[in-house]
Amino acid sequence: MDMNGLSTGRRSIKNMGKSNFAGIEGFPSEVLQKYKINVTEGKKENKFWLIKSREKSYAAWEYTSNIEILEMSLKWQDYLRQNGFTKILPYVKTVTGENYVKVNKKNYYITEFIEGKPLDFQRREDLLELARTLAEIYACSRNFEYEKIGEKEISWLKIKQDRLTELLFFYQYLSDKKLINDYERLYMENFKTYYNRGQEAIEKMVMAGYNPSNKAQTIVLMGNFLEENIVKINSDLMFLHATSCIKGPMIMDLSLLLCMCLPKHKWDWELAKDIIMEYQKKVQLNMNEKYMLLAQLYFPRRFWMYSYRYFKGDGELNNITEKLKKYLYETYWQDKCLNKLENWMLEEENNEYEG
Amino acid sequence: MNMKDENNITLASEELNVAQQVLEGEGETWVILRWKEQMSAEPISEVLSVSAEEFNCYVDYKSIEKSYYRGQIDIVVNYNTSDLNSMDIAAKEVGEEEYFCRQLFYSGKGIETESFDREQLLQETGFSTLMEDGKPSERREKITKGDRVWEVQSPWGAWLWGTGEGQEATIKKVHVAQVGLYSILVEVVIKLEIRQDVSENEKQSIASAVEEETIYNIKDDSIEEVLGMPIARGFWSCAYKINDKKLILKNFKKIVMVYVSSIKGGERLRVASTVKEERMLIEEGFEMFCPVNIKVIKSNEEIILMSSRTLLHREVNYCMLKWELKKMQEKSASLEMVPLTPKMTEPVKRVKPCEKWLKKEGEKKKGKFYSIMTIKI
Repeated sequence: MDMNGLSTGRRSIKNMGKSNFAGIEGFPSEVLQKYKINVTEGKKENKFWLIKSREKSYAAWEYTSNIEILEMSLKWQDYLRQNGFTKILPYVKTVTGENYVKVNKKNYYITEFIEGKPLDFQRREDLLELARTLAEIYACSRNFEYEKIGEKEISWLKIKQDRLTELLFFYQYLSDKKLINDYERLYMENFKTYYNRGQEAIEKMVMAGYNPSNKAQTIVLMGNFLEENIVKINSDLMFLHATSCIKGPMIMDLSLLLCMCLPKHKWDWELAKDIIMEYQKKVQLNMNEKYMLLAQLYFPRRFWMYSYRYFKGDGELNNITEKLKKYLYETYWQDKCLNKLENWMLEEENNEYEG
Repeated sequence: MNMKDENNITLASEELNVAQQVLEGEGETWVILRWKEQMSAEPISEVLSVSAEEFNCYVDYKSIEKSYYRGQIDIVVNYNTSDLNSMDIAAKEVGEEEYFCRQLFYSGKGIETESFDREQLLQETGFSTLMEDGKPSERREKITKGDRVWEVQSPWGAWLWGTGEGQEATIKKVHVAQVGLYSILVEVVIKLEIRQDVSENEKQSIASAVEEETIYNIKDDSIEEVLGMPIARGFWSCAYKINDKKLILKNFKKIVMVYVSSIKGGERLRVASTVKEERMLIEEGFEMFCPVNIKVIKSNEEIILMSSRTLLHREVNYCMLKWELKKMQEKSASLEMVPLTPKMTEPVKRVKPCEKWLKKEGEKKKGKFYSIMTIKI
């Protein structure tokens, strides 16, 4: 199972004919019964079950996160479709009009499926197109409102400060102990640098005027740019599904995209600039949003995540240590990129002001 | 071997001190010097060699009981670095990790420590380390082109307790280790020692000779080699048992073990210690008073490492008692003996009330009775 609890691995049973369909291994037949799909074939893919009928193909997904996020994501997709954005493969309703099915305490939903070539983050053109698509998503969804009664206010300032505090506790815990492995030595050597980066990021968020109580600043975000989730179909990008939506400032989608793709290009600042400019062709960023973007890029998320895994015993120790080392090397390139980005943004701002 | 509980002692690790850690015992002092520093912005790839360019020692102060030794040490470390430009930084799963991390932040899941079992995570370092016995040879031939050099120059100093002919300070171990991507640690252990020969006079004052055998354990580390076990005694008290006609000498004894940890990575020259109460029973050759001076000399010391956490320590302790101050009196004979007789002093003259303000006839004002003080704000 991966971190989302989605099953991995492949198992397949070919069907002999429509009336003789025996079911898909690992997928509850009660789910299929709720849908109007004449299944002819089914097999387990990496993250979903591929179901074929005579007319179409479908992907069936098991959902293990908070069900409220799924409900919000599906409503958000409906809103995008109504506003003309069709680059997310649509989900299928059941015969009774429900968006998902619950069987044996697990939740399942089905989307349409089209075979396509997975996105390649190494290809510059693919990244620029993804930036354009992201801007379109924002343009179509910026007025979407979704709030459940009793929903707590989300403060990304508090979330980040809490994560930094956990890092500080770990540092203090180790301070008077003999360090027992290379992970702890690397952590202690570099803690202050990354803690200060985190505090600087939080200051930038404040300077950018981030206010969690301001509902206009909090929108529903795509939140998922995994390569396997995005395919190219006839030169168009398509998202296979979009059910990992989160809420936050608009710029967090763009910052997530940059954080996911730039490490593979040694934080090439020219590429970063091009992606931002491509995004700005559709959605212009003001200075506050640029500060907010820099803050998201500065924040040492993965430094925290490796500590999370260390405490959880998630993954082999050598593997976590090696990842931390690479992350520390990566910071050298990241710093160079972010310095240039910041200077470029200030220059742009000055030119606009003088212009 | 059946040992009483009192002969089976657990030593607790002492806190590591940077720069200088001094462990004083009777007739020996151990000095551990440590430096840890972040080098350049380029990651270190390997520690190549270490050398002691200078090491000297001299006695700065000497008294009957103790001497203060000072010295200078100069250690040079050669290492090389990696070129960041040629390194592959992006792990395959970086994109996924950023995505999952964002999801974790949003879900509010934080670091959980309840089920954290740190002992299971003990692992030897993958970074380079070097250990040298004694003083490493001088450097110049060891450097090759492209090497980086880190030179540490530091004074050191420590007290050495005891009488006898002092010996030179010796370097026992030098340890160098990479302790991070950019950091190097250097540790040096120096021993100061006095030859504790028992003179003929002192042999006459031996009140007891006890052979001791003790098992020591440590819990939170693993021993590769024991370098020494200095012992310091203090807070002496004595009691005379009338019925048994024995003299009991009590003291607090601090037992220190200086050792090399077998776990590679980080600080390896370490100290563990404990304090226990010691009782010595003197059965003859004493007077019913507390002795003027108590001296304990160890001899025939033997340290046997039984396992990575247990060692057997054997020694013979000679306890010498002094009852008279003859030597001190001889020393003071040259001083003039001044009788202590009370001396009568004149009584202090009492001033009559207001006398100092009353004007006296014919007396003129002398000088000023007031002064002007200006305060500027």
